[in-house]
Amino acid sequence: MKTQASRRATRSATTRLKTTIGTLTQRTKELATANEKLKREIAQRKSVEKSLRASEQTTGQLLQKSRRMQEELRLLSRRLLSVQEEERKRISRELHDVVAQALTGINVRLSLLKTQSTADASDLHKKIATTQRLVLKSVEIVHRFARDLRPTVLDDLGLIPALRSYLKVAGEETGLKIDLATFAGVEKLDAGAKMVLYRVVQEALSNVAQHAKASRVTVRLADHRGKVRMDIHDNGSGFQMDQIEAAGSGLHLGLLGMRERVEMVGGTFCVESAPGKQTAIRVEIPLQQASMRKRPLKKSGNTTLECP
Amino acid sequence: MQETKLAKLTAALAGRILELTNSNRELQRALGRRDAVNRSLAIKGKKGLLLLEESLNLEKQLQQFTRQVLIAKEDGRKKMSLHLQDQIVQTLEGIHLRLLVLNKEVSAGSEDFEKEIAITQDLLLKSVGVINKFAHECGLQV
Repeated sequence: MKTQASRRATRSATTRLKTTIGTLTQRTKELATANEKLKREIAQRKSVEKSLRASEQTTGQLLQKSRRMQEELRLLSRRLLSVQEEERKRISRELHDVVAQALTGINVRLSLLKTQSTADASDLHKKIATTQRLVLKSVEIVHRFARDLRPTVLDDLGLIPALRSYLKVAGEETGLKIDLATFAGVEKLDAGAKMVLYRVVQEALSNVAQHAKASRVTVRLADHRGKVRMDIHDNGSGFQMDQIEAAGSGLHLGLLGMRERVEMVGGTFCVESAPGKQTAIRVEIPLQQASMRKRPLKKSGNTTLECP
Repeated sequence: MQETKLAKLTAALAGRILELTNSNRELQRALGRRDAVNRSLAIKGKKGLLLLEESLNLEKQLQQFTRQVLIAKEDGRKKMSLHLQDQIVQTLEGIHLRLLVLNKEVSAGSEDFEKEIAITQDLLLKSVGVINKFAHECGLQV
């Protein structure tokens, strides 16, 4: 009897244990599944966090570039405005101090001539000739100002004669040996684009004369797949692009100004330079472009001036 | 014997359940933390994007302004150049012509010599006036 009761109790206990084990096993499975799910979710969150951080970093970098670009544009605008103001003042002052004074001098000479009207003719001829030379000198000065401001030869004869004329004078003034290679098709560009190329050459030559310690410059205009490609090389000392960019120097602003001008007519602009190596500027302008004023503003794809 | 085995298994399972429960709690806490971090990163990201958008707009406006300055500069130079050519050079050329006439008057021994000088002087004074006016318009106080 006792044994039977004991066996029953044992069976019952075993059954309870088995039930408990079943429940525990089920719970363990559930917990393990939940655990795995949580781990997967954490992995997913980690991946989201990683991409959020990467996106944050990219946004930060873009923001930094945009702010740098803004700063550069502010500096460039200020420089353009102050240069323009300086230029106007310089021309005004020289007109007033040189040309107007020369004319006043001529007037005095004429007053003297009046009192000497009875003098002999050959003496009067000489004096009038001297006065004429003074007038012609004034004319030449005013012509020079006008040429510096805007070369009429560019409008009248085209880019190639304008560049030839400018480079001849620039070569004489700076002592640089300047070679020019062109192609006739460049004259198909509209007036705005030709002016941009002319200004880029002027600014580049001014930079070479001021900073490059070069003896030779080559300006080459060529047809390149429906675009006018202009390369300007010098054999000067070169410079570190990132250093001049960081310094916000006049050279850097000059380069930025060139880029803005070129992009205004739908072109691209870049510079290649390194200390001890030659500097190369490359401009490309499509032969078919919209007018400078009608062109919608396209954000510059570049925050660097370096060639890709 | 079997009971003992089963009891051991039960204990092991209970232990495992405890471990898993603890682990789950930890994982849930970690998940909560990750969610909070991600929420704040998402908010920060949105703010960053807004800032970037504003910055790019400002950059575009500045670029537009710079280009307007460049265009205005070129227009200004053209205007000044034309003004110099059309008015000042023309007037100076006029004086030059008057001097040529004067030279001829001398050769011809004309009595109008003094009158011609006076006309040339008038022209000169007008030229000085034109130049000073131009210089003044260019920004020089004279």
